[in-house]
Amino acid sequence: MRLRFEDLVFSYPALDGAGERRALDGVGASIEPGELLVILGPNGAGKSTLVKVLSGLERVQSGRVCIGGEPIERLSVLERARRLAIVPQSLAAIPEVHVEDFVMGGRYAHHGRLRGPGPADVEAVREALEACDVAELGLRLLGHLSGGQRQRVLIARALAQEAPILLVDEPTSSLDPKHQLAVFELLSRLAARGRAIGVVTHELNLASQFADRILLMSGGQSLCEGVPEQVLVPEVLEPVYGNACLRFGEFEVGGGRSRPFVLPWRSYQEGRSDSGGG
Amino acid sequence: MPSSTEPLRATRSKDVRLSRREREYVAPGLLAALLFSALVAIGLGSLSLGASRSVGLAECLRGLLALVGLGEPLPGSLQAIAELRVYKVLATIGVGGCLALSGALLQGIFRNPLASPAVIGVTAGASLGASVMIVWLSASAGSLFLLERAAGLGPLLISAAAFGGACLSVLVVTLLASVGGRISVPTLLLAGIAMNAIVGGAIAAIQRFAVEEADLMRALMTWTFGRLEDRSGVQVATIWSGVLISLGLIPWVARELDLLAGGEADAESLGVDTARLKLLALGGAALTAALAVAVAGQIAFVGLITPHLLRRVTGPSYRSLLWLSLLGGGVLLGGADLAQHLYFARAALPPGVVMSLLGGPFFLVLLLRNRSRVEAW
Repeated sequence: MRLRFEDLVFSYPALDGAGERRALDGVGASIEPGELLVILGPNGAGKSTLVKVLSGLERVQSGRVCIGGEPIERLSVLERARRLAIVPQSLAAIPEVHVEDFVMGGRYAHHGRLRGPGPADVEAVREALEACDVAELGLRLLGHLSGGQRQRVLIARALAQEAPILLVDEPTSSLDPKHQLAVFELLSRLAARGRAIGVVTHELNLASQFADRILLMSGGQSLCEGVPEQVLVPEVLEPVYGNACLRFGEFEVGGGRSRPFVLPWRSYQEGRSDSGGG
Repeated sequence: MPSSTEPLRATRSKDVRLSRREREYVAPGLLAALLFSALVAIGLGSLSLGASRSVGLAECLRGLLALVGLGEPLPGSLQAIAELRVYKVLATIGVGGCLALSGALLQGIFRNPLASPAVIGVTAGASLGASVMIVWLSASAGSLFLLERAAGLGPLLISAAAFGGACLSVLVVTLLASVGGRISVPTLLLAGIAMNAIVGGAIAAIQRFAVEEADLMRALMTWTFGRLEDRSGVQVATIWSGVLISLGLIPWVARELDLLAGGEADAESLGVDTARLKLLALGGAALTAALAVAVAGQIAFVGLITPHLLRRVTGPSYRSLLWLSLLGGGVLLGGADLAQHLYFARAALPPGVVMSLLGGPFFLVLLLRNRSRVEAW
């Protein structure tokens, strides 16, 4: 099942009479089954708004979102949840529940309102916990987990939802490098098994290594779309992030292949010494 | 998994929460407590009814059987006394359960354990409705005596006005908090506060003009203190229809309220129709609270404290909390009423006052004992 969106326009209402703020301005792309699409862009580019609109949390104002060929507004909340799962960046509050029960929340769209979870749901939860390497945390309280554990539990809940499309909003923002890699490796495996996965992130180098394709957003528009080698280059990134703040290079990854890498770089110009002293 | 649960136990040693196995006994325990307090209450009766001393539990049960057509009525006024006793106990259980369930539903919707029926303007609206009706009844010359008798039309009219006031108030608050067909929960809270202030002012104005007339003031005050004595069969049927509606409603909102704990957007992404959930839960909470206030007047605290106590024992899941609140509210209100019979028999304090006097300190003790565990909201 693929997720396709085109010509999306979305504005937040004006608060102080200063006019509405346009967060999405004609962005469009698609996420195919078996593909990991990374959505990059500077702060305020409209990435989070895009996730909200794609997931149906904000209404489509103009343009189209199709989930598996069906316009999103024609899907019920329940049907939408069966097709598309979301891993939020964070929760509004940490529920006081055990990890197992929390992940079981992902089964709501499947077991029906009144019936409650059955053996198939318990099995799906167990598999999701194992896939995310958090099976041993099942009986812990969600609030007692570390940031990395909680992130993996959030992904496990989305997995338990068994939706063919997965949208992940900044999954690595509070994780150390080891866990960042673990999360992207997990997402990459899931894509390889046929899910369509969209990941919003600021991690240019993880995008370089894991993305099948990258969508670069700026000012609510799709600025560039392509494989990492096409997008993570100075000509594309510098106009978006600023001229002087990035350094570019390449790493050999064996077999004659290489991956681009991008470093945030401070400016070492006149008036400022390398030691940082005055 | 001992390795993962051991540290948990250490950090939560002060917690009174029961294990999963122990929790299975909570519902039967509450049910037993409810039956026990009901039987004791019927047996003891109200000491303020002088003649009732001679009517015991056995007579009351026989009177109850006669009431449903399964036997001969008791002789003379005994049958009426037995009926009043049974009605009072049934009203107490129903009112307590409805108030507690209303509080639990609202705490789920607001995702805040401080929510109670008063927050959305139910109590204030009901008070205003009742006050206006009492003044109107007294203005229609000579009809004030109707207020004194359960059999008269007065109490029913007041109940109806209270119910109307409660519904109207909730409707206004909800409409104020709706944007594009969706209810904004923070705005709901603020609109509720404003509504409480406005209606409180209106009630105070009515009382200001009534203060010269002792009878009228007494009628107004009686209603404000809450009243479980002298309830009629119609009132009992009213509150129990609320209980029945609740029984039907709970399965449709319990799991959804649990999923709402992580926020509205999160619940929506899992497939919860949050607009419908808010409508159902809010409607249910408003209806049960309005019925309770219409039948028994203002009784504070049951709606706030019952879910709170139960949450400490059985955990925060609404799948158990809603059912248990329906049971526990009756136990709490019935228990408070029994306690007042045993300790303040002469004073005959109304239930609203008893709940505040007993429930308030109890709540504070709980709060202070667990102060370290209370998180910032």
